[in-house]
Amino acid sequence: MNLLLRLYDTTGGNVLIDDVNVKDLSFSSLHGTIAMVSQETYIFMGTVAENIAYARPNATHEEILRASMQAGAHDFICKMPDGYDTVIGSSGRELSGGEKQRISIARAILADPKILILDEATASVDTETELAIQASLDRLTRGRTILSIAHRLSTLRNANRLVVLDDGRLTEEGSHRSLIEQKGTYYKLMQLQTKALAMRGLE
Amino acid sequence: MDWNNIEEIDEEQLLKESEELQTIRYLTKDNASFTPTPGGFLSLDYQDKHYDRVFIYRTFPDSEPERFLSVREADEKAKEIGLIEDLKQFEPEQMQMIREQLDMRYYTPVIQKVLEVKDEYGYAYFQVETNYGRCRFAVQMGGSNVLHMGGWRYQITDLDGNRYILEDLSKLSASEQKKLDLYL
Repeated sequence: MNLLLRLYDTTGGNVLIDDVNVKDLSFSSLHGTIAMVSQETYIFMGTVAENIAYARPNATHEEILRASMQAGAHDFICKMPDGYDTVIGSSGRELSGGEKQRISIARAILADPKILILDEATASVDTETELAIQASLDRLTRGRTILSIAHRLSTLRNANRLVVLDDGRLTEEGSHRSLIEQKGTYYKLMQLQTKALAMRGLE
Repeated sequence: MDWNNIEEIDEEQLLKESEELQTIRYLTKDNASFTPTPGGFLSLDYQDKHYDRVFIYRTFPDSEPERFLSVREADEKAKEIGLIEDLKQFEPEQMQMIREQLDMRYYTPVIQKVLEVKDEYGYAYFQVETNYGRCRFAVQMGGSNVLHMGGWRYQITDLDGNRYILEDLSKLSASEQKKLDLYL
């Protein structure tokens, strides 16, 4: 992901977007095309609305509300005494990991990028919220590319193409169904996680 | 365990939840009607459904106090029924009822004079005059109980969660400002 965003540059090989080398794109063009939701969410000092509209400061209140609803953030924001005007970030109201993550997802949805990177984007939310967010994100795939990195495999099962990295090496590649049929690493992890969920009465 | 069923997620349910998440349902004067209850709250009739009691939240209490009001069921979950895009679109009588509910929910005294502030064992004890009269409250120091809202505006939250607004610190006398120095 760092190579795609050009936080680092490749020392060998190339990263291409639609056959264009990312090194041939300006940073503003590249970063205007990509949004990322990571496990570590940066919340800056400002209101909830300002944090969500970070990539689109001119967004209307209605657009902010809609993005928050899609991200499953609207309910907890409404229940804060100052709602979307609540000051968060350093010396503001403290948010839980899951709340921060949902604000980050709303921020990405509002940015409406061509490429959306989800790096363990729903790792801090409960399973029920994750399912609802996942359904929203699935709809957002239309007309854009989503790169999703997750240990919780339930978030990946609808992906067109899955890549399994084991100890830094690409070991398996294919659809959910084909990887299950291969009965390799993906199958074993899926089995473990499904059993764990079943033990918790969630499957 | 039947691995053939692994893909059988309830897509219909997910889609429904997703639709619910994405759809903004607006309450208008044509599809919603509020009625006062004997207990001083509001009931709602919306799209052929009656709600005995509803809560009304401001989504943007400071920047849009009368727009995008969230109407919610009056139980623990407080599920959203819909949004009022602009209160001014409602008839004057309905508008008044809703404003009264908002005044109750967002009751926030404005501090006009600081009489005394003492601190002891990590708590600050305020004695102030507000637009609702004189009052005393205690605030736990540290954390986000005293919030700078920009400019000279501050919000103080006491131990019980009651909030007080200091609209303009610069308009207080020098001695009052000095009393607050340590806490803001």
